Amino acid sequence: MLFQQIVNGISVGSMYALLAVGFSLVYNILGIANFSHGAMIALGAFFSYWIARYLAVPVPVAILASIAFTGLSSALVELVTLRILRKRGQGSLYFFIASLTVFNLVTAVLVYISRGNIVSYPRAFLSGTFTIGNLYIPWIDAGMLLISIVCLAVLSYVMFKTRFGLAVRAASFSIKAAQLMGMDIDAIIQGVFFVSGTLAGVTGALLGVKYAVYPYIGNFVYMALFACVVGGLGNLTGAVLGGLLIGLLETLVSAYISSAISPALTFAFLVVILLLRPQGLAGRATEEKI
Amino acid sequence: MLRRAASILAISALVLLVAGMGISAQADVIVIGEIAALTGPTAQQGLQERNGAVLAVEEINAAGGVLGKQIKLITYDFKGQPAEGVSVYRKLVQQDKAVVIVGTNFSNVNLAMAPVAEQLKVPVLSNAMEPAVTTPEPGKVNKYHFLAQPSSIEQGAIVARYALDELKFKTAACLVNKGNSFATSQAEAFRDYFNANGGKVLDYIEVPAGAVDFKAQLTKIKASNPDCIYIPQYAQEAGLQVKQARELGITAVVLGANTLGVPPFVEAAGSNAIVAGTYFINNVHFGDPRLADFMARYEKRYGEPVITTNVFFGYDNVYIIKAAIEKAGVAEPEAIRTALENTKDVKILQGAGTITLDPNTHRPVDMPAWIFKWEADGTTVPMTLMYP
Amino acid sequence: MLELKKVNVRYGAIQALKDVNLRVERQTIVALIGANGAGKSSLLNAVSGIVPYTGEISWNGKLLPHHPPAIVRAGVAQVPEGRQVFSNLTVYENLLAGAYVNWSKQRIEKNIERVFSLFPRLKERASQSAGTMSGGERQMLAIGRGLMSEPSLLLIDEPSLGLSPILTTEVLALIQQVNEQGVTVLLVEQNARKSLEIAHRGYVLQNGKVVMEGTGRELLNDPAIQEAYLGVSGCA
Ligand SMILES: Nc1ncnc2c1ncn2[C@@H]1O[C@H](COP(=O)(O)OP(=O)(O)OP(=O)(O)O)[C@@H](O)[C@H]1O
Ligand SMILES: [Mg+2]
Repeated sequence: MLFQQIVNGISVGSMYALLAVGFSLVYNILGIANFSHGAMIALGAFFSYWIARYLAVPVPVAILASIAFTGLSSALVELVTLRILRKRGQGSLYFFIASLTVFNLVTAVLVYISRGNIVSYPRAFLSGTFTIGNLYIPWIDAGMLLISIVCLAVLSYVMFKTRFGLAVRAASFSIKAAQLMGMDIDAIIQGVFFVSGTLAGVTGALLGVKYAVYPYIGNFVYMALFACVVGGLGNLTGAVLGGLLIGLLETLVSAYISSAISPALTFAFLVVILLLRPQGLAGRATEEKI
Repeated sequence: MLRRAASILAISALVLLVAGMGISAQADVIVIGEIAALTGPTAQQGLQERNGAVLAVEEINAAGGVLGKQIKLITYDFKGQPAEGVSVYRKLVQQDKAVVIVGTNFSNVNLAMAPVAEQLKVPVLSNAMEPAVTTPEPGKVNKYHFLAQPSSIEQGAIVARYALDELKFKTAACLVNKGNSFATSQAEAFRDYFNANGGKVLDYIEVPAGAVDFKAQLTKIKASNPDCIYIPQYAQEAGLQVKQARELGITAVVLGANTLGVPPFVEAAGSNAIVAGTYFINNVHFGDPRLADFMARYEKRYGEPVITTNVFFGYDNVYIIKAAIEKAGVAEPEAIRTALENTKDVKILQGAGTITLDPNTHRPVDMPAWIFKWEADGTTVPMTLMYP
Repeated sequence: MLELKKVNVRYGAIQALKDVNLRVERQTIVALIGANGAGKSSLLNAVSGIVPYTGEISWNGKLLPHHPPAIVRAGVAQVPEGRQVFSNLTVYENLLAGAYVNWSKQRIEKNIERVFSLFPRLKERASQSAGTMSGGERQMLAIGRGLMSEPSLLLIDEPSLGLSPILTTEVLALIQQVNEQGVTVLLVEQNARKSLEIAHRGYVLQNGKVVMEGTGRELLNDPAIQEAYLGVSGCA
């Protein structure tokens, strides 16, 4: 049973990890918690569902289309909120509020359109389960783990091997210095929102396949935030570790302590981390930027 | 600025006053208020509930009304929020001058409304199954709240009895949404009946409201390997639970509440094959020949078939009210309340065709319900009618 | 030639530059000196396009745009105050970042060789995280990074900040060497004496205004300058 619980935990955790990485990317460069990430999760879930249902295309195609769509939506959100606030010299609190507003607005619109219904995909995708000994592994969970690994590999290639990735990492350290290198900071920030939007989109779509599609699915963004804090805000590896850890913690607490209390214990864990290691589990004390 | 705000306030107060007078001036109509879920995840049920009530009102008015007066039905949405339920209850009583209210079938909403109804003294006939809605504590009854279907204690116990006596199960597990008293009250009743009558509930697991991943809990249930799992949740949540149970290779039979007879349950579970073999309880059997005439009337009036049991809630509640007003001889809240308390053998569509309320509990006496089973072809088959 | 005409910079209520006129002839070193808060960094940042300004700034007869990437592409690079090396990147990656606007393999390799020959230290540390470098090494890296875009004009802001007098002399000598390779330099320094010694011309900025200009030697010998700026030299 313990191994089965670990499988369950890793499957949940791999999604948190993917969400946390997208969340962390924006945090890194701008130092703000971007809650419009939650809106992109929900849009990813709904768009891939709508495309699969109404255009009757295969689910993987629908997911890909919806990823592109959430990436663009996220870039658009950057353009109409953050860009304007930044040009006006408004502080990050304004952006935090704007991003929360986008999140709530999109959720409200989806509640309205879906009339709050929970829906599932018309055609089965990655349904069923395979077994390894006593372990029951749903295909969707295995698929999610695989897809998160692929996404993380692609992301780390982009971040560490491309010109765009170099610019993102440079700008994450200092926007001003990045500008002095001739980096187009508006384009870079928009690119980061695009990438983070695609990550939210793929997770949202997969969560929709795994569970169901419902307007409050964007609330998974809070798990992304927790994972980032646990792993160390602004640390991509930490975000992945934090996601896996929270997924496992949640599952094991539900299994061996009490599932009704599991959200409370997850919060308690977060508080303990914040008190004992404010820089997160994987984080180093931040370096002076000089 | 302030002065302008004040004058806007004054004008709107005046408008409200005139509107209020307009309604209360229509003394030749009887206003029945209805509170239903017109939006949100259960909107389909709520909208059909309203349709059922409207159909009953139309029939009654066409036949001359009650006490020579026409009935006017005013329906409000509680938007999924207990607080909103309380607010529209007040509005129906104070602004619309309703003399009696019908709805809801959400225990959380009626639990919130109950104390307010005791203050404003306009009776509510609901389908909220949690017994605390009508009897907040043993020996005490809410004077202004009534239930028109078997309570959750009865429904939980009926399902437990079916599992023990008919399906011959020895062991069970309960998975229950802690945030929903509809679920907890049935699960407790199931557990108590099952344990008290020779069975054993191996796991009784509460999950937090809003959870969508139940794998950890189900893995635990799988380890104790019960004969059946009782999941008295709303349709979509229960659907997810069945789906995840099957993904983990759990083969135990699933039993559920009266919420599982609808398409959203199957949709959330993923397919007919996944829900096949699931049992649930319901007050009505849509294929009952006794109902054929009504089913046709409904479909003709609305151009859509009866899909949810809520149609019968709406329809029957209006007829129970009609009987009470006739018995009272006057359309006053207090008189209606007294008459409702003494409801006896009033003809309805649900159960076995009549309803009698117990004056001490404000709940039905001996009202039966059907046990259904989902088949692999996507149909539901009635197994038996069970009395509490 | 770099030419500023009636350049004004304001930050809300604060006016950091007031009608500043300034010229830097090609292939010369011009030193810009002034007290803290005089507006030196603001001037460099205006040239680099990262603070808004009014007035005209041109390089080699062409008006500079206000868009930082276009400015770097036009051959103007800055080594910012406090170095601002990317301490989350390796030394090598910092140099790559400096080459952002001319991202071609051959040019990057050529420029990295050039930087390594100027600062052999950096070569040894190429794969080390820039955050672990000493202050002097970081300054070298910052200058090296500034050269990676093949600038014809290099703006350098207080390279001696936090360095020992010996290291300061060394860094200024390197700047002179860069200049001798054909790069025009606008050098901001608190350490007025040392910078004026290597500068062809100097400007003195006070409260956002140019109050004096002349050759390096003229300014070094000016009594007012000696009193205001040179009395403290050597204490950096
Ligand atoms: N971003 C900003 N917002 C508001 N005021 C600023 C900003 N940057 C600089 N200032 C102000 O503008 C004036 C000039 O600043 P600047 O940094 O250009 O001076 P400086 O000559 O470089 O000083 P130092 O020798 O201390 O580096 C100062 O009064 C400073 O406080
Ligand atoms: Mg300065």
